[in-house]
Amino acid sequence: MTDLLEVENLRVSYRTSRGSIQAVHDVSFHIRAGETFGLVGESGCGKSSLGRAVIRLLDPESGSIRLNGVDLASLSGRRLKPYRALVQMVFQDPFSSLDPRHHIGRLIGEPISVGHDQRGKAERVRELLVIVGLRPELIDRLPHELSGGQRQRVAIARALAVSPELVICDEPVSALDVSLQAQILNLLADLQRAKNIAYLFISHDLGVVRYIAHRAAVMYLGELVEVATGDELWLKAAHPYTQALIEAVPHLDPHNHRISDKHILAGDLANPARPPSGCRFHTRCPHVMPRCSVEHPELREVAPEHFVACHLYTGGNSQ
Amino acid sequence: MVRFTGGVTAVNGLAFSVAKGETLAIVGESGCGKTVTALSLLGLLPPGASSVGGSIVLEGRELVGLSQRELRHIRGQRIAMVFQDPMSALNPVQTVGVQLVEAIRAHRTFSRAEAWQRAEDLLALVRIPEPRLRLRDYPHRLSGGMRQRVVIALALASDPAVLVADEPTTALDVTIQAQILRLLSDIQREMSMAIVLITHDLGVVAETAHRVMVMYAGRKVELQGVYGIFDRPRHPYTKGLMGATPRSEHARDSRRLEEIPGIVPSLASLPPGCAFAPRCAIAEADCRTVTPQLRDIQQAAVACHHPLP
Repeated sequence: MTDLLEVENLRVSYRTSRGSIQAVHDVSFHIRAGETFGLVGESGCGKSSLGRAVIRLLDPESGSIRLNGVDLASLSGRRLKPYRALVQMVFQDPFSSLDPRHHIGRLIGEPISVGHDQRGKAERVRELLVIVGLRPELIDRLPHELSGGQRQRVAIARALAVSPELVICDEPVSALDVSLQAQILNLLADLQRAKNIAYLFISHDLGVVRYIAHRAAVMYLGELVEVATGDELWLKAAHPYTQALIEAVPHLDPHNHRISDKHILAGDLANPARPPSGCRFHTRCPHVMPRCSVEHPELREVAPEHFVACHLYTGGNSQ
Repeated sequence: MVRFTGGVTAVNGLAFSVAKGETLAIVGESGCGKTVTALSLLGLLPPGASSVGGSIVLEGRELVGLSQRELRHIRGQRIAMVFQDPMSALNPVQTVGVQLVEAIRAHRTFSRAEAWQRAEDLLALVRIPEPRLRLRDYPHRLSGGMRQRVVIALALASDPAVLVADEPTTALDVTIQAQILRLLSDIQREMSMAIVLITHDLGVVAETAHRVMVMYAGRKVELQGVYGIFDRPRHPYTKGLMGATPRSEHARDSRRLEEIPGIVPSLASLPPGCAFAPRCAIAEADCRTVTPQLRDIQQAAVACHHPLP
């Protein structure tokens, strides 16, 4: 697999009345064609900002976003347009991302490029509805007439309408009941196999990411702290934050996982406007060492395809 | 039984009990009636909904048929509730201390000074650091996790015997969720309180519940102890929910989850027979005509014509 997307040293910041907040800080990763790359983290970690910068809904402050070798970060306006179709997005709440006044045919047909006549367009929309597991008759319905799961299928059909190479899925199943979650996750996996689409799959749920992602990264306060294959991340997590996340996830195993026996991470998430010095996790880390508040740890490869940013793995403790 | 005006039956033929020091989890997907069940326990059903028949006994006393005034006395005093969104339970323009003191003095006669001391003790009980300082904070100054701790402190203000918690951690990040669930479990042990935990998350159930009731389309479809239900789910819907939850302990060999096909039926147009039959892989002819009654199979109660072995 070749690299479809290469993100390097990406920074995204927001200007607020109280100064600027850096949401994404020097993040680098790549996604291969046809691959699912998961991005996990808690609220305010910058995962959605990262996704929105990749699709250029947000302008990056610095860094590069290369898609098939072309740096999207340096393009704007008309020169960005040809690349817009290659990257599509599916949001958490399908109701807010679909215009409630437009029927399904228009919503899905809108992004289909000119060149299709009206009948060809309708034909294509029916085809897309079938691909995402909906009845083609739904073409004349309005979003509010559909269930949450059906609406998310429409949002996926809309993203597929322009045959993208990368789809950014921002919490696509978080608003759905578990039986519908499984249906949508399976649909995404099937579509990927059929069309070789790559996904940047953003989620707060490590259990979901582990299931769907080939590789995944864990994000904390704007930085990637660990990158590995989905299984390796779940079974051999190395970063203390990843370990804490996995410990905190409620497991379906009452024999071995009861809340009273857990090691629970204390403290609240730090304020992203004023991230701690050194390693940003040091204020909550159970293994904190003196150097952690001073030196910023870089991502290092600790096993093949497994990268960790933590002083526990940088060897030769300086203290 | 709870019915909405227009005749939609939200909850039907539900029976359960919860003992001192025990957590009963009520689990199900949107629209299964779990929240309506919780609200009816507290006499807090929304306008248009009414409890039609049935009985709710708390510490030997029948609650159905009590006047609003009598209910208000019991509510907060012996039974209290924690909701999903802490901001909906907090007054944004009053300090945490004022709200706690009000709750404390609503049910018992405390002097002002005693009530403030008790408010501080309650914040300490829910493990809020520097409780005396936090009494002066407004809710918006606190993080989501801290707000939920304050809501729990409010619910505990009068030592309730039963705490009803409706998705208390659904809006929280996973590390904060673990903190709140641990807090509830610790407090339960200290006060031997009964907890009715309403959730859609089977992981939360596995980690905190003692007994588990699964609801589907307004009915109880299965009730078992927590170990039994995860080791040996009897109802096909229970097993389906477990298969659809992506939290396997095993190395992943397939990227497909087990699906439950279709969607939850509308309560206004339930199919005849078993409401789950249209989505059930093992449904037979009788499932589509005869509503299954609950029956005991060893340690489980299950409403299914063809329970799993």
